[in-house]
Amino acid sequence: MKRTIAGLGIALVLSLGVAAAPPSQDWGPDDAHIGSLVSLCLVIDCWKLLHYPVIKAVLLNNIVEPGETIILGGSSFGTSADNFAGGTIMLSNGAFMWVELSKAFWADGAVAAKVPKPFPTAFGDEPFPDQWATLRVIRADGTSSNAFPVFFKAEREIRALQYNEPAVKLTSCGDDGNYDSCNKIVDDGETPVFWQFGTGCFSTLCGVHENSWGAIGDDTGTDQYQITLKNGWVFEDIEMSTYKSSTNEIIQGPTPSLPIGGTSWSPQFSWTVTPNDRAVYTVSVFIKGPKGTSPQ
Amino acid sequence: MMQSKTAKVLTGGLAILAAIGVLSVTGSAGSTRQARSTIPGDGLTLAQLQWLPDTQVIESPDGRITVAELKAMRSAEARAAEAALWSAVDRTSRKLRALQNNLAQEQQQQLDESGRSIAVELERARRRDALIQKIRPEVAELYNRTLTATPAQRNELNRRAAELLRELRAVGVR
Repeated sequence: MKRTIAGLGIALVLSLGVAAAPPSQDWGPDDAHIGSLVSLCLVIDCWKLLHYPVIKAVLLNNIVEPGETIILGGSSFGTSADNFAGGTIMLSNGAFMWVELSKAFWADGAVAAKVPKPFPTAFGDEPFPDQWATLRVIRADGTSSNAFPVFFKAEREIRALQYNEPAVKLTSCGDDGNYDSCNKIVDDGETPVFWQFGTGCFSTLCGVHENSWGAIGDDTGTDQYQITLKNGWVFEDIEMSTYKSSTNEIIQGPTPSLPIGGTSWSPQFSWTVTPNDRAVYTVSVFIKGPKGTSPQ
Repeated sequence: MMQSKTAKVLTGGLAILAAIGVLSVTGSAGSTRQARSTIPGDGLTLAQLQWLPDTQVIESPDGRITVAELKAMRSAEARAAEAALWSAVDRTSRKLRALQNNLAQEQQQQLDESGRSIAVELERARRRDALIQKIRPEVAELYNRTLTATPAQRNELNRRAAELLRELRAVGVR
């Protein structure tokens, strides 16, 4: 399937799959082994045979991001003297979607164009993740340049990860209390000792441990979780809140601390609850990644 | 001092169930039931507490308490817990907004910095283009002359081409 945004300009082709390596250029001159006049004529099309534009380099903003302006260096992009100045720069992906970039400057040896923001989505409004893409200059006379590889970096967003997303897994929940709940998973057969509120978990990690009135001795345990992020998402920050019904409760953690910029975290919480008390912790994990894409 | 969880459930839970079992239930409200014995508090769940009559005495290693007193204690605790919950929700929302604002500012700063670089690079591009336009007729002439030139003349034309190419390379033409 192919979707094209029609019109003259500059475009980027993007694919929904994230490529691990840049695509190779499909054409490019090698002027190291040819004579000076020939090299010169590759820059200035003196013999009127090089009827195709050539992208040789991205002069500015090698990583293509929505809202950014890129400048391409090359040759034969078209001059007014030749009666075909202007044209299209297309950015494409493996889903064969061409995105036209708005032109800011056009000359025979350089063109500048702005990457649209917000960036168009793919089929079914699926946003494009980070990936290698290709740039092409299509001159006003319809002649296309080589496909030049660039890295497309999607627009970023920050959001809170929810406890019931697949990226969040409960490894173990301490069960020494009269009521033990981790991310709304309650220890077998237990019912609350204290009144509960709301959904019981509004964040990423939630631990509730309750010890009944008149219990003999403290309850203690450890909870462990595993969070794994994918598709370019990374940890940004956390906000942790604890509630202890008395000053005797102990909540320690998370251990280790959040690896900011990382993609995998196994936080552990140790807790102790005295009789007729409860200890509650909630941790919201904030993550940053390609807008609209899934972190798992 | 610790007691195993299983032991707690057996001693506490069964005793509570036994206590509930001997009650004479006269209505749905806990206050209308009659207390017949003291029960151990260990393992007493919220659901069980709500079934017990307010006058029921609950035992613990530290003393005795009535269900009414324990319910009052739980209510006070519930208010504190609810306040803590909403405070946590509020803090989390504010932190998320702050992080999102920071990201928006960083992205804008990046675009602003990029805008300055673009202005510089576009100026260079204009200069390069001006040079290309200036030497374009000479390059065309060099090429036309090579078509009929002797080998010696071609060397000379190629030397001039190398000079022009160096000029172009010097201003960043690739």
